[in-house]
Amino acid sequence: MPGWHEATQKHRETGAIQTVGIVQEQHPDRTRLFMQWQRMDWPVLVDALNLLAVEVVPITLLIDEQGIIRFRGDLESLDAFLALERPASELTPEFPAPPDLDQLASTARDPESQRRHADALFLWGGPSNLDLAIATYSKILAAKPSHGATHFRLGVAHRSRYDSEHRKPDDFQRAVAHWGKALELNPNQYIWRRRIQQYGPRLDKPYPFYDWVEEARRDIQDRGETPAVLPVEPRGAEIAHPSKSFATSPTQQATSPDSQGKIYRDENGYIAAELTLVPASLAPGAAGRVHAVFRPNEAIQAHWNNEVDDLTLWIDPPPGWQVDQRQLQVPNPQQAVSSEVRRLELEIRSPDDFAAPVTLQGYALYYVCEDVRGSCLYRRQDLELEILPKG
Amino acid sequence: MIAPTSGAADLEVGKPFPEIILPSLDDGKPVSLGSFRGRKLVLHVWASW
Repeated sequence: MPGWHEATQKHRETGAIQTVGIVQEQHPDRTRLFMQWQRMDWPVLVDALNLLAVEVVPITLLIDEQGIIRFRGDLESLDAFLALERPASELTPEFPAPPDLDQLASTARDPESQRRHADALFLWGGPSNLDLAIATYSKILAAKPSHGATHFRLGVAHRSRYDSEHRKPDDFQRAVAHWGKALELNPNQYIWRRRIQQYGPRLDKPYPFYDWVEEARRDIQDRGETPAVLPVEPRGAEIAHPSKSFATSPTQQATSPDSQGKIYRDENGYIAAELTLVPASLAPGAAGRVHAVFRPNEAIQAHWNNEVDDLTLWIDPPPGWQVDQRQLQVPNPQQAVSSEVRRLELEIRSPDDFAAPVTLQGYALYYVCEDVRGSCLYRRQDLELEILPKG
Repeated sequence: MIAPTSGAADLEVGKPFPEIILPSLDDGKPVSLGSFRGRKLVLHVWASW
């Protein structure tokens, strides 16, 4: 968009044209930071569900006074578009009300109207309506299992709930699985493909998605401004650079820190751990990215004890599988205790003859305390991730 | 709101841009693309990545 922003600036100032951006992102708020960085001031609309059904970005449409698309194109068509002699008319600003969710619900009997209801729940219902949006998309898929756009939107809704207070176990994995199903149904849909690649392995990345964020923040701060806040910080896969080969690190040869399994298990659930694989299933010889997330249990006021060892994740790959790291750690922060969510990511590669489901095993070791009884313990949590062959 | 079955094929030269209502990035309030009729519009569909 920066090129178009510059090319259209003087025409916007004279009122010859209007400009609008529509952004196709899971986390559209990141666009706000990008625009602040690039000093862009177009009005921008958010289309996280891809209601527009575009298969790629960027697309620029030059639309005349009557709402007809005249050019679909590149910067060169701008002059021809401006030269079009069309009757201009007064702008009639519309301030539409959001759709009436109850009315949409009462008329949602066929898949088409159910989808409109689910879209509206997602777009206008806020986080508390994500459960119903997810249930509604799922109902449509039960009747029409091969509707790619519904799989994609259900994936978007699951990932949105994962990022909200309303998160349920496996939301992220379900999102990735539905995006994968959508892409299987239409492999030419690059908006869907990018949504998986954003969280996926480096081998499958076209570019680092959000590596610009850090530079943007620095530049904005250097200007004396406060960078727009991002509710979900881009990290790991989202800022990783593409790689052409699968690299294994020296820790491949490391030894298991608890090979005998002697350390007591976290049977009280001080820490909720979740592994997610992206993509959700793997072809033979393909790479996947494993996202490991550790959340202290708020119900018992669990928190990390940072004065001892770092949180450690150990991975035991199945025979024939490669991992880029066998042992990963989250360095303890400075303060003595903390209760932040901790995240680790690693990459795996399936053997060339991968054909039957396998289980990736591992465990995490951590020092954790809880405030209900005031105990602090070193605990182990065994982790498993079932990996299915693609197709 | 755009019919969910509308495809990219609908965004072709010579066709009207679909009536679609989307949330504004600024405040999440609904904006209708129809409210831009009357003057030339450059519509850029993009992502920050």
